[in-house]
Amino acid sequence: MVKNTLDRRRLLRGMMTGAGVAIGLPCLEAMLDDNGDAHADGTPLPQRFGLWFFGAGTHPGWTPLTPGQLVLPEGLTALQRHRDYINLVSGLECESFGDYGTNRHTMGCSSVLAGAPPAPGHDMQPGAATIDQLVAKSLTSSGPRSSLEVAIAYEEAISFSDVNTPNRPTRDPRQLFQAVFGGLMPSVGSGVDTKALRAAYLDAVQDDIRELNLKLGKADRDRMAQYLEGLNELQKEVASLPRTTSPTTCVPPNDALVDIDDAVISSNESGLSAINRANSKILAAALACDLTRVFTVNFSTFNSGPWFPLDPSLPNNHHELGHQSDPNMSRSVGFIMERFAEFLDALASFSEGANHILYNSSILVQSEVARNHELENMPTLMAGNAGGVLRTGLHVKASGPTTRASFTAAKAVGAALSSFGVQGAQTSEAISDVLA
Amino acid sequence: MSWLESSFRSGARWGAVCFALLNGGCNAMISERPNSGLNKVSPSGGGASAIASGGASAIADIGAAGMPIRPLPTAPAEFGLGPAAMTRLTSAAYLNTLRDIFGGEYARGVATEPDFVVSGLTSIGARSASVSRAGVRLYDTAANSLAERAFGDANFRATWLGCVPTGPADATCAAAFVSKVGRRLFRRPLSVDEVTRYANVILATGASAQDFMVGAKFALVGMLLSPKFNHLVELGVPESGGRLSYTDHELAARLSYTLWNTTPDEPLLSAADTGALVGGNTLTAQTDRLLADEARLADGARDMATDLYALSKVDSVNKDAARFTQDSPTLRASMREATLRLAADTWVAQQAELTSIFESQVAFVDANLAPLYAVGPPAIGFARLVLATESPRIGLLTEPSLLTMLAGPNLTSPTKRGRFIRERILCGTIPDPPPNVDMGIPVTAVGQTRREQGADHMKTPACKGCHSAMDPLGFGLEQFDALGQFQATDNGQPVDASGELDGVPFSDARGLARALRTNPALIDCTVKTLFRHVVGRLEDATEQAAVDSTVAYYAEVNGQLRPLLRRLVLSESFRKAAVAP
Repeated sequence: MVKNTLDRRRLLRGMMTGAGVAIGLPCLEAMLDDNGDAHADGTPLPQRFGLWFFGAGTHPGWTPLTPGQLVLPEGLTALQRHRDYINLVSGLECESFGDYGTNRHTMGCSSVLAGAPPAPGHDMQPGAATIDQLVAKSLTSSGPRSSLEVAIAYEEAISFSDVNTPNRPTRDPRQLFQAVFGGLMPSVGSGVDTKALRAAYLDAVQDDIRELNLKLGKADRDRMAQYLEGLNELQKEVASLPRTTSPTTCVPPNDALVDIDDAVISSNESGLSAINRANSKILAAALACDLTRVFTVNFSTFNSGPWFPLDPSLPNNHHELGHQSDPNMSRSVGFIMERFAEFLDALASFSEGANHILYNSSILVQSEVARNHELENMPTLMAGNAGGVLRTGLHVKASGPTTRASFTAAKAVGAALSSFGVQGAQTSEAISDVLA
Repeated sequence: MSWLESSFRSGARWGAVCFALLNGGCNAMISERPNSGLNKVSPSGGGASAIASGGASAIADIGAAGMPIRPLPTAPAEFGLGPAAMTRLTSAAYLNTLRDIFGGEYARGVATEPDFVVSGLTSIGARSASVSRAGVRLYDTAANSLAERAFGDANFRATWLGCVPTGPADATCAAAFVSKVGRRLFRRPLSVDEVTRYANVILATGASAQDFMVGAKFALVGMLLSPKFNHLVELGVPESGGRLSYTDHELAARLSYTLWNTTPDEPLLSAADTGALVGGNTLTAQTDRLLADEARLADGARDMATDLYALSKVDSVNKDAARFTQDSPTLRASMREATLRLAADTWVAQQAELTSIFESQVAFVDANLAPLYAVGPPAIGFARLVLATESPRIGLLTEPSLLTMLAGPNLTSPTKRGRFIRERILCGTIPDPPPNVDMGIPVTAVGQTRREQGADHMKTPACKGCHSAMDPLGFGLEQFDALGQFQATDNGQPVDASGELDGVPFSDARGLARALRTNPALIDCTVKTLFRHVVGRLEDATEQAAVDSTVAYYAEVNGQLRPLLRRLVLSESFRKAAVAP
């Protein structure tokens, strides 16, 4: 296992330079119980739920031939180093709610992410709240941010709080770093109580909305409820600001941005690997610091056509290769899986208890279509063990809607969901083969 | 308008997508379906059952009969009332607002949540969009940095503070500042409760920091973060018949954001303060004043073009970097800007008929775009170029922005281009492909033209139903590649840009533009989309008479933007609302 980068030396350095800020309670081994699976006071280690999404499907060879121990097929071999921490689930279908004429990318994203049909008029987006937001809402104890949304190729939302509320991800690692760690820095001169200063105006805006709500119709009140959630989160963050630094300081991953500049950000596909590495580090650090327990990574959004940089180069973009049944599709998928493997590297680099934060996570990998834009045998990976709830290293053959995998991953981290999805996508049945 | 969102991020999809043997589904696009954006016909649903004769013959009907003939209205009909709803400021409107209240430098580098599109338009999406947690955070970040800057700006303090605080507990000065700046931010005088609320932020925060200015800064942050600033709060007051009448200040904001895409200026706000917009006759005078200001009205026209043609997508379509080495974010920005300038020039400066943009001989060209027009770069910025009559380019559809947006990464897409014209310009609807289409057909054609590669679309009966309503339109733009560059040959063969629009044949983009201008659906659709953009909702089936009336008016005023906008903003559908759900 890669050594935890949140080590004593860095903590000390952070303290000495004054750069550190206390954010939540990072899990240091000294604070763990003897087994390393809970804090010394008996509080269980945080479990994270994540969705790592890539657009436009896979190649025909995605599915291994036999169930049982996972033998990674062509296109997935980059995951070999993490094979013992992942499952490949085959045989799940994208429920299409009887509306067979709807664009498959639209149907796929709505059905897979929200377990619901797309909403009329709202095109190319889920028609209801997505699984990550349902999990975020149902977890009683979470970090200061109820969820964190990250993008790699396109800054488009795959996470929705409701049909009118896309949670747009952040793609530029500099902005992500700032959003996650920057807001925790004191913004006013030394000696001033920052918390009280920001709390006053946040209170006033909330009062403004409460007064407004008395005059609004239901639709507008629902919209203002989302606004209030945003303000609540800012308030939570303000409340977590320290007055002084302390030994429980959590250090931002300051080396995450070394490869990032304007050229990388505007370079489209050629910058993807660098952006993926940087955002993976930042996200993993945020999870290690317990700033959030729910995340989405929109690697390449639904219906997208990124053209992956490989040598020798591909004859077309990912989307087109799929349409044309081009055998190069497996290389394109291979590029995506390498990036996912790098994300798992970042998670595995943070020790936690007897294992690492990948072990204490439950991560879904999904796309909105399968091979040839079909809605059957949908690509599904599950990574992490949710602290031991899930067993891994398997190819599991399953049946039913894709929502079964989502439901399983959500329940594994203790989400208080009795079921997920509607109509044909509704399920309350976990995939038992992956339960430990 | 599902096509738009669904086509852009993807690569070229043309050669293989084809309708399988399913009963048509494509007569939907020719039917009069005012609510088409909401009630999309699915080939397997109601749409299919309506097609007795199959898609292909339904298409032939358009060519033969054109649009259904409706009787001319005997009396002017008005649009009805939509429900009241808060309107989230679009990104452009938010930035314009900051610019006009604080100064241009305050709007630079400010990030907001992207606009929300419903039924193809941001103006409709703005009336149902929520602000996500990330969006609230962006508002908060913008508010903090703006306030920080403002209080370091002597000019700002002189303009807005209006008093010299005696200390952090100066309640009078606190109330004065909040009242003054709050009126501009909330676009109306603040209530006593609101003044107290934000004055208390000054007093509480000022006391902690032992500095009135720190308190005032955070009060400004709060007001900027309030949805009363970043939304148009439209509550109305009840009147007889269960209707709501917008207040003077609500109306002033609606007027200003519709015509200028920004916050009301002082004269408009003052007019609202006197209560004369609703009760008196100053609404007409103010409307005429706003319409007369060419520079500000151009902002409104640019916003309209961005919304109607989805121009924000120009930046995000992906291209083959190896083939188009000259492609860059700056080139895309130039493309978009050129089209916005064309719209503002045509509709506002030239006061030309709205649909004349399709046959405009004008193009705006900067150094980035000059090679596409085979001209030298202008000395500075954009030059207004009058194209030669023999130029292959003509009007909006040959703008590099649209040609780039409506194409694949390396190949053109007659289907995407045709679909844009059919749906967005002519208000038709084309269903998505049915499920039993093989989406994974290898492209084996080597040395074929784009037209030849897609020949199956037009031959196979099942494909032809929908594709014959799209591809023959798009063929007219085949002289322009996926980055909007002129191409005389395609794969070594001369480009054949001939096509047909509802029975009218043409041989190139110029002919397509002419066929479009003479298509009876064009003005009908232009009027509808103008209404949708201004009022922020789709017209419903009961409002066809109002559409007809407006079409008649369009002819009366030579299709000019100003009188059309004037009619819409003075109409009851703009001034009043139904009770919000």
